[in-house]
Amino acid sequence: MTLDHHMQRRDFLWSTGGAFGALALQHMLGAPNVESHASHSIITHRPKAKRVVQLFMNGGVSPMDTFDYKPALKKLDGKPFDPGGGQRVESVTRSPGFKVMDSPFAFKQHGQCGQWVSEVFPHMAQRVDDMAFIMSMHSSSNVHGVASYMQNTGFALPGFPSMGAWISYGLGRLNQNLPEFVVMSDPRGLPYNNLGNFSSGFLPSQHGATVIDSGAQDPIAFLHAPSHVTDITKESESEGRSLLRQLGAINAEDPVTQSRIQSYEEAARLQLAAPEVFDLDQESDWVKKRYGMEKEVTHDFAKRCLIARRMLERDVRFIQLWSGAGGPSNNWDNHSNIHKELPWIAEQVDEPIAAFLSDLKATGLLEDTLVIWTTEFGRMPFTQGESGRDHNGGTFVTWLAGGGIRPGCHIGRSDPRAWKAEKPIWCYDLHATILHLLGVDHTQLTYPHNGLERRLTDVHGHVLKEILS
Amino acid sequence: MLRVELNHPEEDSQWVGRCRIRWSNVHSDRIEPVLEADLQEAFACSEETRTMEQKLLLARHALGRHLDQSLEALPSPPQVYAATSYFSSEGNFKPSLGPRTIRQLRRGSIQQPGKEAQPAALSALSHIPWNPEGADLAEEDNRRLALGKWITHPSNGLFWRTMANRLWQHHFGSPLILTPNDLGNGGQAPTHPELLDWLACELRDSGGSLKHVHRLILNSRTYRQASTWREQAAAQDAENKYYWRVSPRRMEAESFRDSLLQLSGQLDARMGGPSVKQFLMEPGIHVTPIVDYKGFDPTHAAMHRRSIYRFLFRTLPDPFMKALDCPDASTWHPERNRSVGSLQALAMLHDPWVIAQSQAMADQLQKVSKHLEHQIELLYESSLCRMPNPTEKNLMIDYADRHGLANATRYLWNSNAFVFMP
Repeated sequence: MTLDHHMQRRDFLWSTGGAFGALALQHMLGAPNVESHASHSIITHRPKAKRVVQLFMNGGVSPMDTFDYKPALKKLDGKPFDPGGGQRVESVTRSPGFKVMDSPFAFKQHGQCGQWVSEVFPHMAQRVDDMAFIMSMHSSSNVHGVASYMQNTGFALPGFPSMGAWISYGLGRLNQNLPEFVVMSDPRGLPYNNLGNFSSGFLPSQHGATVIDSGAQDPIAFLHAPSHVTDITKESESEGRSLLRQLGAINAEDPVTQSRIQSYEEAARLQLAAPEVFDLDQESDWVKKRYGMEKEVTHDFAKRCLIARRMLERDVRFIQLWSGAGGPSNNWDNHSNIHKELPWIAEQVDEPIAAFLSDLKATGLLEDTLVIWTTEFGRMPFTQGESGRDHNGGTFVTWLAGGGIRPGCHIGRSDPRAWKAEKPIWCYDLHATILHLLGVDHTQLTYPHNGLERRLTDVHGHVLKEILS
Repeated sequence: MLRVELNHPEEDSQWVGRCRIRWSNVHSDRIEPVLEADLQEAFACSEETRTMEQKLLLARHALGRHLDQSLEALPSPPQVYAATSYFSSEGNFKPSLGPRTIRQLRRGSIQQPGKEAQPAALSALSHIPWNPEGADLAEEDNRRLALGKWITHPSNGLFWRTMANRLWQHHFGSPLILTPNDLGNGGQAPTHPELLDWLACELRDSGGSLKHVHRLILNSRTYRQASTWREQAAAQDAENKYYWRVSPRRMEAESFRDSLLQLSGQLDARMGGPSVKQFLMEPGIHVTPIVDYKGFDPTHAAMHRRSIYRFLFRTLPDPFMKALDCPDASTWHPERNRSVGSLQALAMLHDPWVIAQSQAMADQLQKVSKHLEHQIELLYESSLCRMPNPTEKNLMIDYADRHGLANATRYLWNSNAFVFMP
């Protein structure tokens, strides 16, 4: 895509949700140049997935305690960790010892594919035949903030658009009433980088995430006027909208001002649509139970998975679900005691995710929905303190399921101690693959900023063909 | 004997105008300027015999004198100093009291320091003199000054063009070079190269007067066009690249916010001082504090400061400002996005601070007048700088009658007429 074209695109896109929306609007208004813009659709091939759900395990999930079975660690357990060849070990926190620690969790092979899964994920283990595992994810940073930025935006520095924003920008609206990019963060707190992980960066702000506070009265900010303002009523609002329409009728043929009047109609539709999505009373007790809503430990994640499923049914394009807050606890950052901390957090998501997957499969949504389970990095094969594990960008596990994914396969391998990936797979490759499944060549989705045509994948990225169906 | 020599270093074919040489033993401050001949003539006339032209001429002269004297009486503008930072050390974070030694690094490796690097300009740009005064560059402040002078040197066209391009962008919403942070190979060519160069020269030759260029732009016919949509023109130039109208632009987040404060009579126009936190903040479990915008009292005095003094929490931007495209503060944004969407509409309608401003505005209007019609007229005049037409007036009166003046104010502030410039 040329720079020239971009500037035109942006002028047209600013008014609506994205390419398709803008085209529709131009068409409705009978404005010129519709054809020339239609010929520049960002879709480069037939998409296999329409929507994406990313389950982000915040803090760095330990691979050798979950999906990356390493029998070699048994023999090395308690011995000093020596990578050999004079290699230095990069450890974030200063912790003496570096004694190898075998996983305290029992592993078993599951499904037709025979994927190894530890006992911390008994329910997800039942769904491995739906998943494609990337066993050798690699991050150049083992610091939460930087690594999270890389997984979310493809860049180590703040200020870049997150994947959801790129997808919203490139693909435009799939639904009419709800936002395209929704984030449901952990009610215990935002992840590292706060809202930086969901930023629209230099893309127009409407492509940034709508962050849902699933515990609040109004899960979407500004959806309604504060309740203490009594003179704002349903009538004052609807008559106010018609007042705006009538006041705006003066320069009505101008598409720029017209789109703003339409945004108030969209806002009214969102006011109706949003509460309906969050209304879980519409779900049967049986479904709620399957997700784990009745148990305290799984209640929150189950609830958010269920809301995510309802959003997918209403064609929300990109949903990100976070497990774990920022900070030293309440997440997957198991520094002090892997024996206790990991099963505790794993249990909170295991049953809900498994139920979510099987629900999507049963309803057919999984056919064109891509589900990704990710984290920002892995953990060290040796101990920190008595029985914790420190950060390790060397290798970690991600799995994908759904639209366009070859189920029950795996690619990549870490070394026998799960210290480093043998052939590293980067966030760029994952991002390129996700865009590919959405029908977009990652090298074509660009935006001019400060003299560069920026991409989600920077100058990198290879589509992981081996995991595609 | 007094010898006068005229020197023409450039070329020898220049014209010499009429020159006049005066001498006096009075201090130069006290010399009365010599008046133009026609002014002298007008002064010489008695009041009765003066023509209307002469009277006007004298009036203009007197007014000019008065203005000059008033301007001189103004306090001198504040000086801006380029300073190095000094702060109390915190661990390894120490202030640098002089320039640090910077070494060239072999192959970029900090393990292989080479010879010491000296401050200098790029030799490829030899037409811009570097440190012509030969200031001692061992001093930190001299280094900074030398760099500043080099950047702003009259022969550094890039600087003047960059600035002129930004001034144009500020007034028209889009720059003459569409990549304002990159006027080089990675950027775009200007749509109007001669215009850009002319503005750059005007800026440079007026001694860098921004005001001069603002004045040129604002008085131009191009700027003073209406924003009326014309189907025929749009068919040829839908993007208005060639300025067949002034493109309507949505107000920036800060302008919108400050405008509301100004209108509601709550603007705290004080300049300077530490930035204000418009959120509640308490320590978090780790390093990052807990920040709450929602719980902050929208009528708190901190909310009345100009937007430029807001405390920017980079990773937790103000949700209201963000909805109006106030950019992520983590990176450079030479240009504002001006997006429009449902979440922005909701923010502009329902933000508690906006509601508080419209209430304050309504209270003000009700103090000034008891009549709804007059209140609406005042609201229009102050918000839009014009009176409502009869249709608008009726619509607004009808709405305010049913739902109150505060709601009517809020919707006028949400209307395109208010939000779009022009």
